[in-house]
Amino acid sequence: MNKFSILSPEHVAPIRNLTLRAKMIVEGTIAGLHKSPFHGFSSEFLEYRPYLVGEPARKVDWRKYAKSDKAFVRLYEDETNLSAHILLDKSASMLFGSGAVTKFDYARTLAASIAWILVRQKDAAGLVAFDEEIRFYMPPKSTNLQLKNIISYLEASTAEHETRCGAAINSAAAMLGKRGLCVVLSDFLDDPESIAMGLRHLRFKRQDILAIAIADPLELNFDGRSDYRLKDLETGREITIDSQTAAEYFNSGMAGHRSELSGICRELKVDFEEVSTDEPFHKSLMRVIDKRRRLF
Amino acid sequence: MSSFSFFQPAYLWALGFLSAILFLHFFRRSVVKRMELSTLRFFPASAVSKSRVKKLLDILLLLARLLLVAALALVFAGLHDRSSPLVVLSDPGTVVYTWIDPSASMEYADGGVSLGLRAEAIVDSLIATLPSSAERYGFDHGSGRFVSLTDKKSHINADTDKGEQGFSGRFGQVNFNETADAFAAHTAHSERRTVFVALSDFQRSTVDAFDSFSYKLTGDNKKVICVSLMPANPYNYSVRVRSGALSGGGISVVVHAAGAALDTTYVELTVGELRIGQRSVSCKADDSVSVAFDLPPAKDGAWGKVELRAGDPLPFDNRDYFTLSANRHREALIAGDTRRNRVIGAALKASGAAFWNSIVLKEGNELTYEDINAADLVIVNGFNGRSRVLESFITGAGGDKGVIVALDPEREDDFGRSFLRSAGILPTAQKVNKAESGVSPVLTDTNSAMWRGFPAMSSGNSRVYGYVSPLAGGTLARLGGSSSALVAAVSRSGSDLLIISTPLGVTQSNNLCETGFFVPFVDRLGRRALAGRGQAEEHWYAGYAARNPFFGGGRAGTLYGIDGKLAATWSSQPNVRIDKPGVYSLVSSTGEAANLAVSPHPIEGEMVFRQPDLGISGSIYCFEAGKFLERMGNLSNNVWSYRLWALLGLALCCEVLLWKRGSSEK
Repeated sequence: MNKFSILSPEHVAPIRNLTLRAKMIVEGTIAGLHKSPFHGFSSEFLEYRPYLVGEPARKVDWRKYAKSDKAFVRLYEDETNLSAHILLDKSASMLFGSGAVTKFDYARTLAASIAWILVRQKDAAGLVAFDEEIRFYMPPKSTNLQLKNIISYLEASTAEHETRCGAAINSAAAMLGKRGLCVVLSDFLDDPESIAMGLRHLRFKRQDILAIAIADPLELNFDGRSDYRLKDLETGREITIDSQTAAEYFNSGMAGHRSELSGICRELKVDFEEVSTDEPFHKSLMRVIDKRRRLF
Repeated sequence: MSSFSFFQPAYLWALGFLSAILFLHFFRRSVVKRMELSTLRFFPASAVSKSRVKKLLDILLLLARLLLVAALALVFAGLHDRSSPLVVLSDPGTVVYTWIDPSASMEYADGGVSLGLRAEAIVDSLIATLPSSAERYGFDHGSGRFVSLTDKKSHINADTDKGEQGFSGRFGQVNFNETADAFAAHTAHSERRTVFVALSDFQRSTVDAFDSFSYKLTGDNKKVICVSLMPANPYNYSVRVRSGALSGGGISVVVHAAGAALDTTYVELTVGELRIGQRSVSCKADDSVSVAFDLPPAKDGAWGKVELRAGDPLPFDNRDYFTLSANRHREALIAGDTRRNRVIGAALKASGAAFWNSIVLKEGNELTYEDINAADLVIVNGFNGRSRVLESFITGAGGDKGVIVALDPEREDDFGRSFLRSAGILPTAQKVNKAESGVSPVLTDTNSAMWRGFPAMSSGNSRVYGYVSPLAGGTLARLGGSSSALVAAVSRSGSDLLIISTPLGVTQSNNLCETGFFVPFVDRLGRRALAGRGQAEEHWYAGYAARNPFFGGGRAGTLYGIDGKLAATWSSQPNVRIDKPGVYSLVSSTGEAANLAVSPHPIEGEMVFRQPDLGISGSIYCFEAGKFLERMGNLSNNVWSYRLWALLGLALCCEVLLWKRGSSEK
């Protein structure tokens, strides 16, 4: 068995405890790295500043002192205390799952994992949960209690209501003041124009955005073999359709939607990542980390 | 109740494939699964409509496949509408028998093509239309049996001497009994469906024969289809010699126009090779006119013909033949007072010694049956008393003998007066009339065949002083314009006789025998009495059996055509038949020769047609020829089969189109 196979959704899904799940994923992911991400996250050099009297002498950069005969102190990026918001879509459409986990399960697991990583490296992590509007807001903090609270909320929350992804992001952007990072976990099944408006607002608020589109494998390739009586998880609307027509329309519709979304993100300089729920968590997390190594 | 049936119902097992198709359809049909999906935003209304259309197409595809199999099965099973009588001709297992009316009336050619040729063409079409596996037979009138028509040609009719150039019909009564028996024998042990197709103009005599024996043609699995070639507006002109032609005398011919008026044309008389003359003639529709010719003296047995120059569809009866009977020896028997009757014999002799071979005078009470049998003409005059022989002869209708009875007003026991009265030929109340100064006999005319040649209707010298009246019958001459002097009467038994109201011989009742009126008068009386007599023996009709003149005589004879070709040899058979009209020479084994004139029977050219009796069996159908051909054309390969093939093609198209559509989308 591959050492990472235990991080596959079907193995992780039975673990009800999200804390344990997140820890397992994060540590499993980090164990696979050649270099500790903690250093990467928190030891990035930012600038020098003159040594102030009274400060501990260990802070002095002796190499710089040797070269310049002046005492300087190195400032590291982690010390800027990254403020990250995790925006989680908890609309009813996220309840869809053809495999071991639903999109919502996958998304909140990823959210917990990211929060874990952020808090572990002393960054402030906050949480915004939304469906057709913002349902929950937890301002960013870098304490373990914050992580505990985030995970507790994620464990307790359920997906419901319709998606108004764009409007919710727009509302969230209004609440954010400080420059920071926004990780949006959603299936983005909303009007692309509306989503663009929300993302544009976030960018306006000087937020780096990482848009993670959670998709079920069936959504990525609808390949039915029978006729369907389909029910919309959000609206409850039902239709009967044959598999061929369903695949034809859904696949082309979904591909078009993703393409449009991707174009919007490219235009707004938003990092867009598509994650399938049958993908092992660590892989998804690695892709996110790789994408945002500069920030984390 | 459905009127559909199958020629090969065994093929219906193929309908079992329908269940296989249904099974496959339902087996492969996807079950509708309920599924909750994150969003239906990518399914516009058109997607649902499209899906519904696909469902509909799936059902259509199923129907097309079912139709395909069903149509194939039905085609092979031979679905047909059994209420249509002709559809049976599409059955590959059918045995078809054709019969073409061989009668002479089928020579009727209106528009250039005879009915017989049309019948042959119809049979050819029929044979070409039949399925190749269907057996087909045609009735060979020569051999009297059905022969196989393997070469798809129908020319097995009566006399096909002319091959494809014409149709030569047979004279005489159609022997349909022979055909029906041959058909019954041919189909006796057959279980197969048989169709008897009769093609005829259904002229009265033919249809009578057909109706008499059509019951032999019907039965289980047997159908009779009558194809009527009856002309639309039939017409025919004919000429006929009315009575025996006498050398040196006259001949009367009758021209008849049936169905249409005969415009002025002419009748031509030929004796031997010599054209004697021609008479102009015209006739109203459905009427007859008589034309008289004077005949020149000719040798015994000379023959002649009359010919009507008219272009009508049926030409064979535009010509009639006769033989001159100059040397035909006839015998006259004059019964009564021989002394007074001698003058009658003398008058007969004077009128034509060659005509009257012998004249026998007998007392009335001395008559024997032999005397009467030997006589051609019996004249009863001046006979008092009764004669059982004579009574029996008169009441028994001596069909081939002429009878003249003269009434005697001077004698109460006159045979004529007493017997004819008791026999109902004369009225019971008889009156004897006396004319002191006498009355002259007045003829009814001078231009009829009987009185032609008399210079005037009345003879001033001739006087009748005593006569009996009234007389019953058709008046041929009168006395002074009032009482009948001569009548043609008919006895209760149907025999006709001439009755004169005054004696003929030497008598005080008239002076007829003392005038020039007497000889021609007696001559015409004799000829009139003989007119139409003995025709049964003398007149020959083509195709009809006649008494063999050599029957019982121990002799034989040979019949030659006028061209000298041998036509037949007759020995001792009771009846003989000559097939074609014309003049023949009959030579006996003892060397005696005589000519025979053979005419077409009047019934052959009769324009009376009717549909056959369809009976109650429902197995006999009758079609007009045009309709038959039309329906045969529609029927070719079976109407239902045609429709089924069309259905099959349609289903196949549906299958291909719908199937391709499905596969391309996949």
